[in-house]
Amino acid sequence: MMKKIMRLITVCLMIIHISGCEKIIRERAEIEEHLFIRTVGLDKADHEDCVNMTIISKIVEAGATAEATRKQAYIVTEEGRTLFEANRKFNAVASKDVFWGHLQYIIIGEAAAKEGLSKYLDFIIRDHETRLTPNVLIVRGVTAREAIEKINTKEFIVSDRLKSLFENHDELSISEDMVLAEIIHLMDHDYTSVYIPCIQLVHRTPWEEIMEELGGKKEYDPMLAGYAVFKEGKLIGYLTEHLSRGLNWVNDKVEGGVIVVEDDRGNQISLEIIDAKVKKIPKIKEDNLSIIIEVEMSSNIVDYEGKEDIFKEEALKDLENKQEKVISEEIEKAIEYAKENGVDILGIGDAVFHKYPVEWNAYKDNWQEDAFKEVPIRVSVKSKINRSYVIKEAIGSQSGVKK
Amino acid sequence: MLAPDREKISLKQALFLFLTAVYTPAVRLAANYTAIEANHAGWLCPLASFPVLVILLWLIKSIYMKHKTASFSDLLNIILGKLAGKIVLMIYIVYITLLLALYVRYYAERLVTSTYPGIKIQLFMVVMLVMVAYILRKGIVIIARMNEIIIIFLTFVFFLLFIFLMPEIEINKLTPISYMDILPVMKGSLGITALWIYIFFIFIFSDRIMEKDKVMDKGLGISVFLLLVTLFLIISSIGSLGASIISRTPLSFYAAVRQVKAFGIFERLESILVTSWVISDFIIISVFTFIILEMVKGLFNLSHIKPLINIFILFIYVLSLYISKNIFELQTYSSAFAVPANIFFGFIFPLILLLIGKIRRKV
Repeated sequence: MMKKIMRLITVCLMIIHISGCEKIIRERAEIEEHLFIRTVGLDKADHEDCVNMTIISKIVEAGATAEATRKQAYIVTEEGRTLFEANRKFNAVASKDVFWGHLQYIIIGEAAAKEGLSKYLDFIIRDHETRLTPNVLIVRGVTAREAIEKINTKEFIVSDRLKSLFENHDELSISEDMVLAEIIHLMDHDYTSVYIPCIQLVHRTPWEEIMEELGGKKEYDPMLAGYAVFKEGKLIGYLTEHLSRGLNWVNDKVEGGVIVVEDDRGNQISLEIIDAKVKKIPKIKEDNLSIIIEVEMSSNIVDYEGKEDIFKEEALKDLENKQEKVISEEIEKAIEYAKENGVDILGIGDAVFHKYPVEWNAYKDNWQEDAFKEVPIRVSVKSKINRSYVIKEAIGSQSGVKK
Repeated sequence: MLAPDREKISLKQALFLFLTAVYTPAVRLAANYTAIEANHAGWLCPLASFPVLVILLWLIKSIYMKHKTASFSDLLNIILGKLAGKIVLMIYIVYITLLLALYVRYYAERLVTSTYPGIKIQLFMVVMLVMVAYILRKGIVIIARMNEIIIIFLTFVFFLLFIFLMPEIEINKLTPISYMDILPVMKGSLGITALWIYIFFIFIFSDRIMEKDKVMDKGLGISVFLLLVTLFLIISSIGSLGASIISRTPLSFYAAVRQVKAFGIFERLESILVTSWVISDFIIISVFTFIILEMVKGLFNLSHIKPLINIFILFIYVLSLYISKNIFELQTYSSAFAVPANIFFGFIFPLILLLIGKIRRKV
């Protein structure tokens, strides 16, 4: 009898546990009752010590055909003293339960970034639904809310546009996609400073202006605009274009891009970066620390506006030298910026720590403000031009024809 | 696979029970504890703990060599005498009961922390303890046989997760290693040793384990396997998220698995991990309950443990609820008390027992 009662109790408990009894298992919810957040915008609110949280979710209304299926963005902003408070307020306005498990992008407004990152990231790091995999980005000059509203179009919602933007980041190598875990890792160490990819809003489609005059919405494009640089967790400035590529060279994050050089006659040549490998080599000699940054890269000729034969050994060597000079300058400018601001965004401290873990003790205290600013850094670039593509000689050069 | 004697389990089954029992605390504690103590060098800690495990195997062999059919309580009586033996046994009962309450609470707290934040822990505890009470009536042989299947599942899940985590591992996060890491690694190894000593606890019901004379041979194989698994676990956790993040998360391996995005297709694999740790929790809670009841049986010279199961499970339920106010107290209890106490009860005391036994020529 006792056995039977025990079995009955076990089965009952299992039924409650597995299939759910809503009052006991509050977390249980049907999938259509969830509002999946793909992008969140975090801003400083107008009220003192308050924050704004903007969520955007894709709502798909299924139609009979693919054309009839409608995609729509659901954008809503809430203010709270903390992000969690703002988050809970969404439940008062949203018809569904906000679910953070699919978060892909965290956009932080400029004012919030200036106030400090920790305040805005803690909730997302701590919450059980979120992961450390969303991409983090700073939006330059505007609030996250403004950026989300302006980037969003009828055809593509913010997360789709950001996705394609970051998928193509290696085309120019002026930025990259950085996930939350990487940023926490940078924030955790005294000898590194945080840098986060930033975007800028650009308005460059005249047709949209016409549309606006006719009452349509003025649309903006998001553009990768380098990096936002932080000191002690607060935004201090931006690295744009060549400066940010300089940073990417040092951190071995250049995957592609264009280098434009000139031939002897001033004709421009576009060189496409094919591959690059960078080593940061710290050396300690007689208690003196120095760093060598060695870059090895290769490129292809993809565009030439002149008619000269630039494929001769001498001409190619000359182009390689010019290419090396461009890269050196980009790197040196990034080093100069980092040293001036006392922010080791170049991973120099990390390289020293890894090569000289024992000697590092002498440098680690106040590394960014003292030793890093003084350490001599030499840049050495070795480059190679591999090939051109389908056409070798330039148009009209006649050099390919035997006379 | 089934041991010839229907009341006994084979040595292999006992060692498998040990592996499964270690899995759940290892997933929670190993990477976190070693990252706190040894930072990026935490992955070296299991190597420092390994000799202790080998010594422990030798200890078990030495202690039980002369008394192959004796249980731990019999052995205490033989070596220390009846009174001292009973006192020591009582201390062991109290300590392992506290440990069991800790595991019951941790099991529920982990589910609430990671997956079901809005649910009362009592629900999970009741479900688990009812299942444990049910299975304990079937005896240790059934649990051991069930565990033979469970261990295959756990091994498969662990290596699957490790393979998916491999692309996330960065050597940079596991280096540099220098002589300055020796002391932190030794400190960190205490956390691993504190888990591995459970092998001694398994042998508390040694009268139910056959082929104890082969414990060195078979135990070494299991130890190497455990060493590799623990190494992989810590390497994949610290190597993917870095020591600074791992040292702050109470669910270190879980946090690392949440990062998995293999081939852009396989992600959100933590649900498999949650399943595996619940199964492992079930085994550790069942085995520890069985160990305690066996000791109680020895203490009061009882013939069966069955009548004690329900009342003891009820007691554990209440104790688990009141053992700490919150998870923070539980974690402090775990690292400040359970780690050193485990090492004492699982390694230092057996060593003392062997010494006394040798002096008194009882072992």
